[in-house]
Amino acid sequence: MDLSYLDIRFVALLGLLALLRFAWPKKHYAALGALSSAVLILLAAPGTLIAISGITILFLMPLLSLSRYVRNLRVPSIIKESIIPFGIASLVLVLVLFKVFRQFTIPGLGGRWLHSGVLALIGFSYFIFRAIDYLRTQHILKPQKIGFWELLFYVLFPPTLSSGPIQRFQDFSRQLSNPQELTPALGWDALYRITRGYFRKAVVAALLNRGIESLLDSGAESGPTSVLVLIGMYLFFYFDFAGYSDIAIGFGLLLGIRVPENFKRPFLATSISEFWRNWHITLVDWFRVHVFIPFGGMRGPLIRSASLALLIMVFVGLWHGLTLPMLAWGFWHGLNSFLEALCHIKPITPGFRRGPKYWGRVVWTNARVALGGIFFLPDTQTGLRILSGLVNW
Amino acid sequence: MKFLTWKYWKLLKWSLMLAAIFWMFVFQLSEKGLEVPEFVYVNF
Repeated sequence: MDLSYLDIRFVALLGLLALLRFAWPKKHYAALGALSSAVLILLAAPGTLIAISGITILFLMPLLSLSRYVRNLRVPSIIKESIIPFGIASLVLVLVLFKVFRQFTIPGLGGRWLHSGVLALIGFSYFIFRAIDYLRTQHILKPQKIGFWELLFYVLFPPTLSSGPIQRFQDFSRQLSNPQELTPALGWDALYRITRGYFRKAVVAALLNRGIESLLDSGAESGPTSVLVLIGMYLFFYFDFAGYSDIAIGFGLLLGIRVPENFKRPFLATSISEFWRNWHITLVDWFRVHVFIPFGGMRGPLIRSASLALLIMVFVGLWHGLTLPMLAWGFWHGLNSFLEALCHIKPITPGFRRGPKYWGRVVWTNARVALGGIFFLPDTQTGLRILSGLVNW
Repeated sequence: MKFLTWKYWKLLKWSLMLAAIFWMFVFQLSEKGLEVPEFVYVNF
């Protein structure tokens, strides 16, 4: 069994979990949720369960206990305040190493030495982001109690385990204390989201995928072919990931947790910065809360905040993979945001979203996003072919 | 009336989506031996 919404056995067990929750007393909801999730993940991806629960139990929990213990001791405040940041830095290092060994061989040593089982961990980047969010929330709020089952359920929550959306710990924890009752209306809502998700993925994205493959296989090097490939890829990424998010949100509802939305009409964005407020929202929100704001945010001169936004987009690119095309893709989006900020180009306000100027901005934004898709093509040769088709129309 | 229209529109959407999924899985994938590729964002 795979930990995937495309494996009927995994989906059936997730449905069973949703049915079982009717029998869970609210008092033990977190413990029963965490244990059932652990069993489900054990059946689907045991390596992933060991890695995620191991890091949570052997690293996150002791680190928080140590931080709480030191808080009451007479030690320099720098020591008290550096324990959690040390934990966050360690998680970032783990993520970087994971990405490096996933993408590259070891310089000087040749082949990969990291066990293939480790490289195949499912949703590991998403777990690290959730773990960092958890640590930072604890660092800021300094609660007296560490909810073991609450944390375990948060990191193992099956609907969002493999690809998000990246839910904030506070949001999850607040809902866990009073999980949503599964009323008929909520049940229909959940089923609708799941159906829409499968329609987007298995029908629209699958047909787009087939269309793009046949266009690329035809080897044609013309302007219209290049445009069709780029538009097709843009739509494919949307329907693939928005479809996944729909299914995750639907199953989240069935388990009593409202998972945040990942997409909000990104095709109607009138600037690149607005586009990123509506596309993979939870990832960009994570960077805004944990990187942009702590490193100064909108404070200070415009050039500073614009440069920070550019740097964050480079990080977003590298998060997709430590490769040159992903670096270039992140830089492309970052550069567009940077120039928009410097030229004071702001999104068109709701009352004025009509007429040629509005639609012109929408087309211009989508064209730049679609053009960035060139970095997602399988190899440089194909990328150059598509680019050449655009230039020699 | 407005409620009825909305209700029918939702029903129509459900029916179309379910029919398309059924068509995809039963006629396209099983007959032609094709597979729906894994979600792109799983390995990020």
